[in-house]
Amino acid sequence: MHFTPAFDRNMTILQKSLDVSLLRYNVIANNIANSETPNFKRSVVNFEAQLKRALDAEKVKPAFPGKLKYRRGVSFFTPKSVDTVQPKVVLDYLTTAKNNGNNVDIDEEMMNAVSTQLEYQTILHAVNNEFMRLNMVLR
Amino acid sequence: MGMYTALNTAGSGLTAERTRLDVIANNLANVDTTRTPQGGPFRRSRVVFRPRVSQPYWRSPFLPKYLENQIGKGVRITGIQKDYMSKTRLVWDPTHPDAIKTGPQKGYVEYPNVNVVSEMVDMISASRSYEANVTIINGAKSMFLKALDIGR
Amino acid sequence: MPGFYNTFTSGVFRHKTGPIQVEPKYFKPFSLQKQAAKPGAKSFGDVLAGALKGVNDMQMDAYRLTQKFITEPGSVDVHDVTLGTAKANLSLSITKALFDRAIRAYNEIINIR
Repeated sequence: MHFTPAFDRNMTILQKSLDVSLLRYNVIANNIANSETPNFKRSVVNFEAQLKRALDAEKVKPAFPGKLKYRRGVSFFTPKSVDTVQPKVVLDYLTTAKNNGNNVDIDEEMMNAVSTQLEYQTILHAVNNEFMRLNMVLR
Repeated sequence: MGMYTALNTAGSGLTAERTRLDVIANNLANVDTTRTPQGGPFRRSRVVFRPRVSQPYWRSPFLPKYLENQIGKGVRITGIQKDYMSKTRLVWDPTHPDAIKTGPQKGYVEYPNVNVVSEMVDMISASRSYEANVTIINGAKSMFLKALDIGR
Repeated sequence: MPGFYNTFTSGVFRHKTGPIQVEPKYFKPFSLQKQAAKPGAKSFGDVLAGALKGVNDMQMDAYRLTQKFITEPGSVDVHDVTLGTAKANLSLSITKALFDRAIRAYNEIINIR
């Protein structure tokens, strides 16, 4: 909707966060289901730090103007835009493993699951708030 | 990744843990079985777990193992093996009908290689995994129900 | 549509790629001149048509998401479907409110005595 730019921008960020939250929940579910298979390593999802970097990059102006390029035309300052941030599923092979090669700590995974579920529901609450604000104005 | 991925994953975990519990229960029930129809004492069984991953069409042979970031789809049981490696317990009892008649172990009775303590520990961890999977399913269900309330 | 009119003149004719542009020696009365439109500016009709097209696109997207949810159950998330339909409803109600206000303002201006 081109006449509600603030709403659109908030909605893209919130929708991305919803998707990532669900992805994290799925990854945690896979970790818990595989908590007894030997030689299984748990996975984590990295997204929030990237999003923070992208959001901060919009506030800061580059020291050089963006027109400077290397000889082949590749610019050396490519600010991250919010639309291109993607979540990454990373295998965590650095934690110490149990005797059967499995490094899933089931209590920690259950806690992560609970907190991810709450995070999902909080983002949903924020989304509902966005809609409610606009609906209030339209009455 | 969609709506049912978490539910399917946790469901596969539930199935696998329940099967493991059944195997453990069978082992514990047969802890003193000295003769089976196949001859010989009862041998304990154990379950083989494997992670369930969607098979890609082509895997690059140069890709290191830690860079394959596929989201798994849970666990599956690839087989139930009989454990012939552990040694059976030998108890001296010449009056037992199943005592060994000949050889260096004459008079000994072979009891199954089931270690009750380790089976109990396995059973506890299996039931804890089961409860964790049930928590996942409940959590996913409440997340989706909450998502249906958008814009209402 | 905005356009340039060839008014009587003794000015200089300059042929460009567009319509013939005239620099008159004296100005015609205002009522006989069409206002020149700025390049890139849209008329009110264009804005309304664009808004309606946007609303229609969002509703089609929402319907397509719902269809995809039914035919391929694993590919679409619940929040995608609900967010899509909520956004479509919201854009529709915003457009409806805009139209109502515009029509009411037009009526008020017309009925000024």
